[in-house]
Amino acid sequence: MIDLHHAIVLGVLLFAVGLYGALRTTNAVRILMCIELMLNAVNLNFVSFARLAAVSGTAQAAVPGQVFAIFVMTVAAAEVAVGLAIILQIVRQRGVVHIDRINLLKG
Amino acid sequence: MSFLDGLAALAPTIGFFVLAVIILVSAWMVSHARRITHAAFFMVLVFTGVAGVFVLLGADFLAGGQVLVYVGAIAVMFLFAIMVSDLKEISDAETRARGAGTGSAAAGGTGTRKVWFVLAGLVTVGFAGLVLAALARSGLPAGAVGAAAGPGTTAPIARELFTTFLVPFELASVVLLVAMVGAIVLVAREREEEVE
Amino acid sequence: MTLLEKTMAAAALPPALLENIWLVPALPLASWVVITFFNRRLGERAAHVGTAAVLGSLVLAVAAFVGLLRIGHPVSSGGHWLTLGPVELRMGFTVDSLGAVMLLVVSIVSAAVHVYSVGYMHGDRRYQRYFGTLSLFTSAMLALVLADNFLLLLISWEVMGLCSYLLIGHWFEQAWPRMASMKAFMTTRVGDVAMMIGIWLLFTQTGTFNIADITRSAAEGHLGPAVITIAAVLLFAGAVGKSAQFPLHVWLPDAMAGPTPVSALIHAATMVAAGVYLVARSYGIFMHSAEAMLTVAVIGGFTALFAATIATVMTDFKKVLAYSTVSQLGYMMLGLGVGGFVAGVFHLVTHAFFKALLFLTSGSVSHAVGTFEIHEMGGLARKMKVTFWTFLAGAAALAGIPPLAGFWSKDEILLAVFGSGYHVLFWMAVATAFLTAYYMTRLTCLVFLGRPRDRHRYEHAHESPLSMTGPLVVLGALAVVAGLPGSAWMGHWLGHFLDFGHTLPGLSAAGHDAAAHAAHGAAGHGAAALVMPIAIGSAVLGILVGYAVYGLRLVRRESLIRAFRPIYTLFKNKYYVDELYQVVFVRPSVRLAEMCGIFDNRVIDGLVNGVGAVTVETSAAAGEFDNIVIDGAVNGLADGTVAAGRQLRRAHTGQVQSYMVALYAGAAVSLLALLWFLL
Repeated sequence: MIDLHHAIVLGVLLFAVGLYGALRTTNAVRILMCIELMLNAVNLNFVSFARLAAVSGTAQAAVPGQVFAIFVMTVAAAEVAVGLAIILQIVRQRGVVHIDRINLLKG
Repeated sequence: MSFLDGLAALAPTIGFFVLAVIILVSAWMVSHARRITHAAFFMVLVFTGVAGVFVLLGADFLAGGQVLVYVGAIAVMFLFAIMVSDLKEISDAETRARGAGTGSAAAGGTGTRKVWFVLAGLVTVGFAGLVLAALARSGLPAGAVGAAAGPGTTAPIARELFTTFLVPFELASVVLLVAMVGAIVLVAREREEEVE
Repeated sequence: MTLLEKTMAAAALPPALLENIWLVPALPLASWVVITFFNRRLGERAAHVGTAAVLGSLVLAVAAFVGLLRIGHPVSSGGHWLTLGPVELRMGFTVDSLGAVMLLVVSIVSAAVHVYSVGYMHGDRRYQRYFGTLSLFTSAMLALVLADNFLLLLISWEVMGLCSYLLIGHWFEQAWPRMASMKAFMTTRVGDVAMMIGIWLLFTQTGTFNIADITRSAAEGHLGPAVITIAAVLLFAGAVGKSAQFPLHVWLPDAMAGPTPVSALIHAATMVAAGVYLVARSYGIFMHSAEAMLTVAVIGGFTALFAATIATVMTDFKKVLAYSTVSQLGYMMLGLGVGGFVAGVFHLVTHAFFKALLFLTSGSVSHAVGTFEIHEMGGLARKMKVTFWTFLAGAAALAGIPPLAGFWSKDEILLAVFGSGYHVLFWMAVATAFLTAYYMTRLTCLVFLGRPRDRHRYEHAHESPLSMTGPLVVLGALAVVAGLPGSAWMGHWLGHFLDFGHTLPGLSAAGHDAAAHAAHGAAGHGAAALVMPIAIGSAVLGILVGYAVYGLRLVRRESLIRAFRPIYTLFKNKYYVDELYQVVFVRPSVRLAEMCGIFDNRVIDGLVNGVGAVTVETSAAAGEFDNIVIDGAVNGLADGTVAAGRQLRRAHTGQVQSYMVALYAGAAVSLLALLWFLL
């Protein structure tokens, strides 16, 4: 059977892989992708715990956790839209996607 | 017969582990694939895998949402962005130049990048390890959470979403609207200047 | 509608308003939102939006005041905000007599400043931003005086700090305002941190943020004496930062880099008064700890005298007023510290009016002559009649000339100090009164009387437009009459009012108001008969000495300076406090920052460039240190701030990922702590 632990560990590992990816690459688009992975990991945890609540209680108990996951998705969509727009704009103006080159504001 | 029964009972577990492997390997490839387009496709694979896990965890509505939103919208948005601009060429060219050892602006030299990778890895492993340790110590209850066919979750979610969570729900739609307008403003500015 | 119905409707209005008192801060807040979002479209009309909102608040504040008078008991409103585990947090407002008085003061001064700014800031590049921030500030201050809990109070407190930062740095193109804004923000932060710890301590001990509840449990003895003392001193530390008391006073004189109306509103009348208000509001905690009260009194008394001496030698119009503000805030603290609750609050009210007035006149003068340097002025009384007469009213009020506002409140404080039996503090307060009268006379003579010292500037001087003189006249009138409600002529009405509101459940029960006792008791009459002549005498003496030196020129200024050279230099350099901080705080933090920078470089550069760079850095730093010591710490804090920024920015690599690593490393450390201590 799938244990709660398995699902949680999968979530943590996915988060870690995403985090490592976001840290190691300098490509802004790729960083955005890795952040999406991390958000997915968070959703996985939400759903796992919701499931736990549902198994030990009523089916209704799973709902709040899943609703939270829905909100995370909404924010993720908004974030990607704005993030990509910003990156596109930077690329157009400066011809660079690597964030170590985007440092005009560095004092 | 009994073997098949056992197999059927095991199917979700096996499915979970297969999906887990797919998810983790694809996630790894998102940051390691050579070309940015490949990374985007691996990301789609992760999203789909997570949708599969959602099904196994009895969140069928969310699985559908996951496919629609992440695969259908977000991933496509990434691909469009990559293709519409010359992001692909720029990033690929830069990656190659980087690999050839011309060095980056801030990090300076490949040796430094190695140090950086180690640091990033250490922080990641340390963070994940500590989270797992904290979970273990906090006495997380062990419980089977495998799929047990039940009534769909769509109706209960809808009920909650439009009663208890009505205000956050409406706010979320405003957030989306703002994001949409913002993205359009950001991207469309250049064309406006061209017209002038 | 019959007359009866009308009366009943009118009678129903006050409770309805008092229960919806959130409207008062909400109006300027809405104005801020509108100005921020319709910045460009509004253009010059931003000023109208801001002013209209504040005038609306003023009307509501007056209505609330009248309503409170009619009802006669404090009204609370609010509701559930958040549940944190077993603790339910409530957010709400309370209108009691202290709050109502402050509400009135804040909205009057703010309205005057708004109207004044329309003329003063005309043509400014960031006109809308200025009015937006001013609105936000007003809203925060109004919320602060109405807050019924420390949490909302803290939030408003910090919002005001932010607005102060933004407005001091309004002309951020120039280096001085930019530095000054940072200095103000950082210095007050020192106090804020202590204050937050204090609030947290009270919360952990009582399980609530509600001020009335905390006061009650302090009165009923649920809190240990040590807890009360520590919490009170920590709260007072916040007040020291905000109200620019020694040793955190250094930011206020520099804050004069902001536009003058801002100085009037924020750095004289309201925000700096928030520290005093905090002490007054949590008086029910302070009064249970003699040690905390003594701390307040001593710091206040010392600051009063200390800042007054500096004010006597400053040559910048606004700097004189700034040090005078520090000094007067010290006076209020002194009054509160010796048990004169009413005296302290009373002085807070009167001071707000006349100090705002004085600052606005300084703005009007600089508008006319284009400088704040008082040695380039002189004889302006002939050119600027309205400004002169209103300034004179404010100066006389500050100097404590009866029957103007400052006299009554200063007298109350002196009476309270006298009644407390701390003779040193009393004579310090008297000396401060003398010095206050002296430097205000000096200012008046140098700016408005005598011969013009700068012909060119004098020729160009002209009276300011009506939008500037109008507020001056209103505030001038208030500087004359605002003292009357608390005076003996009106039977200490303000004192009774502050009492009936039961601001402090403990206070009204215990009734330990030294001023009230001294004023009403039989012995009190003797004290009053003794103290009042001393107060008037010191003020008159100060004026006479000041007029002799600067008006009649009986003694030449230069020879005076020569005679008192060491003292003069000490005052002129503000007791070298900035320089001391430079050596004790700034320089070590620069060194620390350097070390951080070196660490950062080494992590990133690997060990290759590390060792060499460290050697160079260290020797360079040592060399720099040498230079600074030899040069004397003349250039003071500004240099240090620059150096700190230059070094600190190395930690800001500009790389998002290094921030992210730091973020997660921090999260990992917190997790480790969690594992270690809790699980």
